[in-house]
This record gives sequence, structure tokens and C-alpha cells, in this order.
Amino acid sequence: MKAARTMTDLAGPTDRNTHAHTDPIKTVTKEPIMDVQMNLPSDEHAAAQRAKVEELQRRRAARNPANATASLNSAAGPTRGAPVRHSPALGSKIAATGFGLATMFGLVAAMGYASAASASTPPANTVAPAQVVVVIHPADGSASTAAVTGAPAVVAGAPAVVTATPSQPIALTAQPTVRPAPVSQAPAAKTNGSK
Amino acid sequence: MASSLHLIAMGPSAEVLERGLDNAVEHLEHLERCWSRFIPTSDICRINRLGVAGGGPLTVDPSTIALLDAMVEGYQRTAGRFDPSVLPAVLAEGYTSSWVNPAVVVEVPDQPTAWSAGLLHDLDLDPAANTVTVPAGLSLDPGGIGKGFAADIVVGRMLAAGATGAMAEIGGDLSMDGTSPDAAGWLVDVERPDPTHGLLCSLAISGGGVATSSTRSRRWMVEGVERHHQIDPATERSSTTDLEAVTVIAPSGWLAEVHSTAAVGIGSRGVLAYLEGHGFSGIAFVRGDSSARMTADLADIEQRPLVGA
Repeated sequence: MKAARTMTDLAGPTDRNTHAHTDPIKTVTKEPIMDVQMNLPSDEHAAAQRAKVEELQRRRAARNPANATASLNSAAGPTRGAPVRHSPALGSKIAATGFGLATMFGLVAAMGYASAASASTPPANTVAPAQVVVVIHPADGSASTAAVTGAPAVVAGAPAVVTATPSQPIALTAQPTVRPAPVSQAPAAKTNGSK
Repeated sequence: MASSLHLIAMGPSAEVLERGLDNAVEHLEHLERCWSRFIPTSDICRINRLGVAGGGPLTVDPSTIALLDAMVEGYQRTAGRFDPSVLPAVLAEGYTSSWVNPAVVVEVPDQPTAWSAGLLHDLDLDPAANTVTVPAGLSLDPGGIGKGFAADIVVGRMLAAGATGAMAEIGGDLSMDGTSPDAAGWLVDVERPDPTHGLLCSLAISGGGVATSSTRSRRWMVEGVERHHQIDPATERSSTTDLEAVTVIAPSGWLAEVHSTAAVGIGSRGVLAYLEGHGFSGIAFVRGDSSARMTADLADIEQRPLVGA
């Protein structure tokens, strides 16, 4: 088969826009949001990352953990302090594949806060403010920051089973609509040239 | 991919999001191993070695088949302005080592067959067998399309894992789908080509992909002449465009990347007509101009004043 053919040959029935947008207001007030930023080094950079690990460990140990985290809503969020590692399997996996320790701390902080917040889940059907987890790990190695705001999330249904999605081209649909962004506390992404 | 990574996901529980994130990060590592041109065992490096004399079939990862298909599709949709087979020109211009680790040098075939435009059409893909047959002279640089395409895949996987909405940004290329944290849409800040000049604007987007191609980043000097990674397929040299960057909003991340790469090479005189002709929203930054040019549908987007100039 020559490569010159339509995308739908490989895309099959997959259509990314079949994920219909639900009522946004309702969603914002019910669902947790996870927002994670990190640097994604390529494999060849793993050695350099590992070399930084000891230095980062020393820096982190010398730093007051409370200074590395900030709760945007301390009344509803978890108690300030060092992130609790609730996902050792994930953390070790990332470390083993070359992610820097600081990145791992950032990721684990997100996991830890998310888990801690959801541990005190209110009764179902309770409408709670959005849980927002933000973790930022600056590329320059300075202190990671983590913030959680909002009440614990409502757990709606059983956790989904992670299933493998074939790596396929995305079926092309309509052009997205674009409008000015409102003033918002929601996390935003950024676009620029290659970083 | 030696890039920044930013993931946002919404879902019914923290557990679901945690699983989706785990799955996404793990898969990104897999894609890196398949697509890097700095890892000798990657599919792309194996394809490029095979391309010295041509041959196959070569068994590759299904994701690589999909990426190659997207490359061909992108080449066709841009009438050759996006051409990931210009790797020899990229190397000739001096981009021979990893941007983040100059000690890692790209593998250069010993006696490459002369490159010619259109070789991508002779790439023979068999998605059923996950094999590719490579024409002589073809070598590929997944570069930008790899980031945009990976972002699309990651978003799809997070949604499949139970997230109701997901966004992935890899190296400035974005893909987003499903329920957004803000009712207005997915919030995307468009940065000026020189980040010290601040943000140009903030957008709320219903979904799809956003990519920015820039001639400002990844520049280097060769014998006193400045080069950059945006190669003009027509000249096989660093593009001499008067555009510093073009941001494109498209139905998917890889398509946004393909057209932003094509658009930046067109230059200021034709870039908006190109984008509107393809039905895309876009923003073009002209070198030396403090304000950006936008497609007509973005007329109500407020441009913030340039800072730090």
C-alpha cells in the first residue's frame, strides 16, 4: 500500500470530536482537574538529569517543605507540608526511565494532593467546588510549587479502566471555534515556538 | 522529545486522572523511543539507515506507521511546504546534534543518496503488517509533527482512560479535547516570539490543536551566518521568511504543526490568505512589527501591548 492515501484509512471510526462537551458549568463545579507541568527530557538527556539528582536532593532537603507548596484555598485544601507520596509505582517508573527527581517530586506532589483531597470524598450527589491541582516545576531547577484549591471532588462512578488506545491519526473534523479568553482561574496552556 | 510537557485533565475522580496521567507519561516515553532521531535504535533512525540505499519491509511500531502516514498527509495538504524528508538539509545547515545535549550527535548515513522532493510519496506503508518500505535517499526528521502528533495521541489516551477532558502541550504544540476547565473553552496563551516581550493574547478554544512554528528558536551560527531549523524545501536552506512565527489553530495538533511550518515559510504577504484558504485560524508575527496579524475570524481578539522592548 502506498502511503499516499486518506487519513481515514488508518483512523477508522475514531473521531476525536465524538467526545461531546458536556454542560461546562456543571462540569466545572463537579469534576476534579489535574494540571501538571514538567520538562520532558529525551532519553539521551537522562544521564545529565541523573547527575542533577543529588544536587536537587540536597537543595530540597535544605528547603523548608512548606515554602515549596502553597495552597490557594487552605480551608478546603490539604494541610501544607511536604507532598505525600501516594503513587510509588508511578514515581519509580518515571525515575527509572530517566526523569529528573525534581520532575518526579512535582508529579508525585500532584498525585499526593489529588489522593489526599479525594480521600475525604463527600457523599455522592453533593455539588462541590472544583478541585484544582497545579504543579509547576521550573526548568531552572528552582523550587517546585504545588497548589490545591477547592473542595474534594465528587466521585461519579467507578474509576475507569485504562485501556490502550491504538496510536492512530486523528480523524479530521470541523475547525475549532476561537474566542477571547475570559478572566479565569482555570489552568491555561501556552504556545510558542519549539521549546 | 527534549521538550516541556504540560498536561491538564478533568475527570470523575482523582484516581481516574492519576491513571490517565500515568498512562500518558508512559506512552510518551514509548513514542520517544520510537521517533527520536538521536536514539540509534528508534524506528526513525532505522528507517533513515535503510533509506541510504532503500529497502524493506522494515517492521516498526504501529505508532510509527501512523506518524509516517500523517507526514505524507501533511506533505500533501501543504503542497510540499511541509516536508519532513528535508533532514539532509537540516544536517547540512548544521543541526547535527541534540539541542539539549550537544554531545549527542545525530546519526548521519555514510553515503546518502541524493535527496529529491517527492520522495515521501514513495514511502510504502503496510499498517496491517506494521512494515514500511523506504525509497533510496529518504531520511526523515519527525521534529515538530512528532510533538503535535504525540500530543494528539496522549489526549486520546487520557480520554480513553476516563478523563472527560484533556489537554497536552509538548514543546509548545497543543492538543485538547472534551470538557474544558473553563466554560469558555480551553485557555491558551499565545506568547510573542521573544518571550521577554510577553503574551500577545489569550484565547479560549473549543478543542483541536494549536501549534506555533518559529524561526527565532533553535538558531545557530555556521561560519558567521545565522541558521535556524525551519528549512525551505524549495531551497533546502534555512528559510529566509520575514515571519518570526506563525500560530495555527486547527482540528488537531499535528495538523496545526504541519500548517504552521508551511505558513511560516510563505512570508507576511501571503500567510493570512494561506491560513484562511485552508479554513484555519492563525496569528502571524512579522519580524520588526510590534503587533501581530490575525486571520479575520480573530478580529475581536485583543492584542496586549508589547512589553520589555
